[in-house]
Amino acid sequence: MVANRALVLLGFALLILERGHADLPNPSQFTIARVQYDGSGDWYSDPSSLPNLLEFLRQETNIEVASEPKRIKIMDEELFSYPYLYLTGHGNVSFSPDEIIRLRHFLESGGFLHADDNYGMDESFRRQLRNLFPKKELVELPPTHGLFNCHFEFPDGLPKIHEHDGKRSQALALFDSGRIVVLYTYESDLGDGWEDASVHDDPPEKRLAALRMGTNIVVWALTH
Amino acid sequence: MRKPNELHSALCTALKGFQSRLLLLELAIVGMGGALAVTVFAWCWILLESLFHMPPSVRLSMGIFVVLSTVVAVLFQAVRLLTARLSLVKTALLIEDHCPQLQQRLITSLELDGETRTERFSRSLLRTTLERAVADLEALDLRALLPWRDFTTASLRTGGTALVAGISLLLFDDSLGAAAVRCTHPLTVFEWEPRTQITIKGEGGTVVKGDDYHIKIRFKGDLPEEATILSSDELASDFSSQRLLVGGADSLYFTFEHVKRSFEFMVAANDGESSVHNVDVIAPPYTEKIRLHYRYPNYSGQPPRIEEGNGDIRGLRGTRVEIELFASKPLESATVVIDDSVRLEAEVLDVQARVDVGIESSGSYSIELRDRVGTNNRNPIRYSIHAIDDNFPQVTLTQPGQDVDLPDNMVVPLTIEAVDDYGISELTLLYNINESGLRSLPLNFKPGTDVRVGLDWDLSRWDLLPEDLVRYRVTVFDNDAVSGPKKSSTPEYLLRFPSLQELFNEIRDVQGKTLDHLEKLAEQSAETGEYFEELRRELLKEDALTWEQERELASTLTEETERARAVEELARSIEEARTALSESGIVSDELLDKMAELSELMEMVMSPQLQEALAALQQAAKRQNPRQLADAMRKFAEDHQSFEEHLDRTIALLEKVQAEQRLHAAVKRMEELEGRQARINERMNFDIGDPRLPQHERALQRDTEALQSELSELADIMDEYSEKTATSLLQQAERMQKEELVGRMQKIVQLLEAPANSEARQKGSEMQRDLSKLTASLQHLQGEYTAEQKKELSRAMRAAVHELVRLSERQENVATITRRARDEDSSHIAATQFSLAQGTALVVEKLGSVARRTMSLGYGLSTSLGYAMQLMGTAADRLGRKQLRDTDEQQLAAMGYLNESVMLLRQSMENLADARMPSSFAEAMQKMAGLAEQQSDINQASQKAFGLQGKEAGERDRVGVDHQHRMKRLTAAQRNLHEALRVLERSLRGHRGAEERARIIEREMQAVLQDLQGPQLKKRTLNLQNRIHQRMLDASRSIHNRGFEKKRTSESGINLGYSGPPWLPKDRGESEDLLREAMRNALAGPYPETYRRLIRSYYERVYQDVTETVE
Repeated sequence: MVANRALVLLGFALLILERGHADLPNPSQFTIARVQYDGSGDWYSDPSSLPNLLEFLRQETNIEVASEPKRIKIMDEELFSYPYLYLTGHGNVSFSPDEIIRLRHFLESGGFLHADDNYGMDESFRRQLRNLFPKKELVELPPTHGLFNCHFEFPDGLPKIHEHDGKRSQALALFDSGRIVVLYTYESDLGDGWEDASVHDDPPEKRLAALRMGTNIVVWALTH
Repeated sequence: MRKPNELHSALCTALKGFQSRLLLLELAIVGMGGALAVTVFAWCWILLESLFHMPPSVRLSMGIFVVLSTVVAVLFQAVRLLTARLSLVKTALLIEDHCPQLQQRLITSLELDGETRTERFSRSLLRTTLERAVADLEALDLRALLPWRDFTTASLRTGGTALVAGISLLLFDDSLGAAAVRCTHPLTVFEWEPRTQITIKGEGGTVVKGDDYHIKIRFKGDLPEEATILSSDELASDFSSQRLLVGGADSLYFTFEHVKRSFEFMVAANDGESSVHNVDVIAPPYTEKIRLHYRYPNYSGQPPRIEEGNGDIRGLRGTRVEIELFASKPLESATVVIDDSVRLEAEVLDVQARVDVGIESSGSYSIELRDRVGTNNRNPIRYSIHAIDDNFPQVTLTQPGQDVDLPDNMVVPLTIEAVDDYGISELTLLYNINESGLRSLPLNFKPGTDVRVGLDWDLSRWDLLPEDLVRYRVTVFDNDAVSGPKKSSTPEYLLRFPSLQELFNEIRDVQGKTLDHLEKLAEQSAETGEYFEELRRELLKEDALTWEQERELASTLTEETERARAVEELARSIEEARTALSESGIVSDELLDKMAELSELMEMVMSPQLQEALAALQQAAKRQNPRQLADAMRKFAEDHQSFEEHLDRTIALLEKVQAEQRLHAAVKRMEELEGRQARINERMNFDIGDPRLPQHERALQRDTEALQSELSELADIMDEYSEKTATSLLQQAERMQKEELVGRMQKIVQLLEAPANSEARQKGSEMQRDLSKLTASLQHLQGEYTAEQKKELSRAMRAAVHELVRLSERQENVATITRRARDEDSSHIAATQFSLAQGTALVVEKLGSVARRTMSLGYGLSTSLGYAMQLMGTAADRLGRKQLRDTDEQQLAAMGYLNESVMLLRQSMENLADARMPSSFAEAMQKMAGLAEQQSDINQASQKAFGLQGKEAGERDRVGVDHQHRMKRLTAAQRNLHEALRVLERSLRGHRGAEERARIIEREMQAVLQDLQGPQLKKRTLNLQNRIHQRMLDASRSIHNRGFEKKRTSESGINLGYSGPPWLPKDRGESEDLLREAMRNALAGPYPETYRRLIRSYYERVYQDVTETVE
């Protein structure tokens, strides 16, 4: 199963190679690209989260992962070299019209965007999603969905890492031709759970749950 | 003819034959006699021994005597016989004695034979004699001459004696028998046999541990009066004794009770002692250990459990329990006895036994054990069986958990918490709309024992109308598969669809009371102010307070403190009213913002300065120092004046806000009336016979009538703030009257109640149209009012700005003149300075008037102007006293405050221009959001610089130049932001929470600036910058999200159950997008990449044009 995933990953990387982009990442190593967006939101928040998640992926899966995440803007040339985008923050998320078109193209071409609400970006991000895919709506993934058991088991669905409004954590997905192209983890704060233990003083089980869920998301994105 | 010698031989032979037989017989008789003698002697010996228990020597002597006597006697007799019988002559004589007819021929023959041979008798005679003797002898039956009778007699005597002796020995075994034994062992020393013999008959010498052991003691011989039982168990070293009263009885029963250990015992009485008896104690089997294997009913979901404890069974009813017991010894059988009635044989394996029981009811059980020798366990322990009932489930509606009104969106958020000890199987929402029958809505939940379900209950599909009622409750069933699912239910709650009219009335009542209370407080406070002033004057005159005055002062101070508390309470009530209004949607966001500020304003009425003054006054009153008291009263009077002004302003603002609120509510209510008429019309189209329609139309008529009155009333109120608005409101009310809305609604009611009511549809449509027009008019009216208010206030504020600018310019001039002036010019400059201060006071007064109508003017402005006036006053004073030196500094500082006031006033004007958030505080928060954006940019730059700093670590030359430039740029940007924040902080003066928040951010920013002075960027600095940014975002949201800060704290989350369907929607949120499809189809063609890019670009542009971008 994991070998299959690795093959898919490799295949994706080779596909990217074929497209002939310059400054390509090591095709044998997977990494997560953090989206640098405009709009005053702190796109860089939870700085230790992605390195920790990558380390966890290395330990818990057979996926060849890079040690460091990448930072990328939507209009960067190498966008299509990174199949997996990660977007987070507390504030306003804003995409220019050109960025909208490019991101749409990216997602329709097989890319995946994980948006993790770090509390505060909900309104603006949903607005951007409406611009991105006006005819699509976010749907909540039930706990029975494969995302919650493709690698680690989450019988209750998306774990809630941080409390903010007493709301339920939700895994919201935007589908394109039946494939999840955007996963929006709302009111969960996975990124905080991936951070170094000293940052938020989260209990170890919460951090572990966050890292495992992050693993599931990566595995799902790479195998579907 | 036989020869004489032959005859003689024959005679002799015959005689000898007789002689030998006789001898034998007589010897036998002698033997018999000897045996008799032995028997008699021995019996006598035994008798003597039994009587005297002789010592071995005597016993031996007597034995020897008996033997010797017998031997002597027998020998004597034997010798006597032998001597008598060995002679033929004597034999012949014996025969002759018994046979006289022989006429001594036998003797003669024997004698003659001897003499003939010698000389005296004739041979013939001799011969004849011999012949006759032989013949006679042969003819004679000599056997008859034998002493058979004596032999028989001797035999009988001897046998009888022996028999008697034997019987006596047997009969008297204890005495004679024992003596006989001793006699047979003459050399052995035998104890003396006591007079009292004691024998014991027990129960086989074994007893089960803990049981009683019974014995029977028999006494013989000298029967005792009492006896002693001596016993000793295996642990004791000596015998212990116990006296028994026998009373001469020949037997006695005794019981050793509850024998624990093996023991030996004997009984002594008189001189007798019983033999020692041993009693072995046999341990009965007992249960050493019980292991219970619980198998719970499947539905409970509990895993099997093994318990090693005290054997008590405790489990859910329906649980199977295998009792596995370990006995102290191998068992033959084991039986579990439940409630002394049901017996269950256990499967036995050596010391183990197993039996399976089911927990059906509470009770008890015991275990009977039997070991392989047939010993049962004693007093089996009774173990309890506690059957635990599956408790009833509990269900709570934690949200809303009370009767509530339906919100605007008809979605009621429900939070249901159900708890059961073993699991919930069903959760159902039961509801009844307008008593139209019970409906049920099964709720999805994840099975478990503690279920929490969140449900946004959408009631919009029921087309509810105001005054509709929904009764609802939640029922829960547990998963009890043994005794059947048990059910619980929440209390029944009520959802009511209130009309805006009701909400409005309710809130208006609350606010009216608040206002009344506030006005009363203001009145009392004014009285207090007058009182203090009067008292102060009194104090100046009298230099001391009378006792009554002291008491009155203390009482007044207490009342003042309570009043301050009351104001704070009122602030809270306004906040509550704001929350209620926010939930009802009855007022606009702008009004809600105003109310939020009003609440803050009220909290600030009791300023820290006033509190300090009050405390100082109280202290001074206690110390009774007239001078201190007068000073404290003066200080308090100043602050109290400010308190009164704040209070007055608050009241004025509250009244205005209330008026605006009523205006907004009127618009909303009109919209609602229109909406209600529309829904009634829809329902008429669907089911015109619905019996609730007339009821709803009647309610609508009532609310329309109320709104008509409200508009007239509101016109009077609004007259104070805007004549134009008041006139328009009056016109609207008259229009409603003119169009006879109420009467037409009454007609619709009648039509709906009538059998032929199709006309009602037409009337309803007309009514909806008219209501729609009225709504539009009212909305327009409200818009005009807002614009007019803004315009007026802007005008006033702009004028104030001009005046302040002029004052600032003049202040600068005066400062310049002062710097160059000589002492003699000072009075002239003082007059100018004084006039400037008065001018500022006039502006303050004008702004005070503005402040009573808007909250746009924050405390930052008043503080700045206050400082300016104070400095100007001080400068005038100094100039008046010809103290020119350093006065210009105060004048310039006053000018600075005037300039700051101008800036703040400009900000207030900008706020007013923004219809969304027309208040200074809100504007400040908007500015905070702007600063957050700038901080975000700086943070990004810092991140980038930090990354480059790492990369350039090895390139020292470049670090020196590039890095320093970057650091300088960062520092400059951060410093600018810091300055902007400080300005913002000043504008937030008085807004306690926001001011404090800005202060914290400013402190952290200072730390960042300090870090940036260093040669390298540190991780800590980046973290600090991130935190600043987050704080700024939080602060900027705080006005709309009260409690936001609290929610931002890093609390671990608790998973809440998913309550939606376990599947994805069929369309997965994707609706048909023809344009995208077209693009895909176009791109599917075998085109070169360049061409494909063009196709995509074309379609994307088209797509962008046809879809609306959301900003």
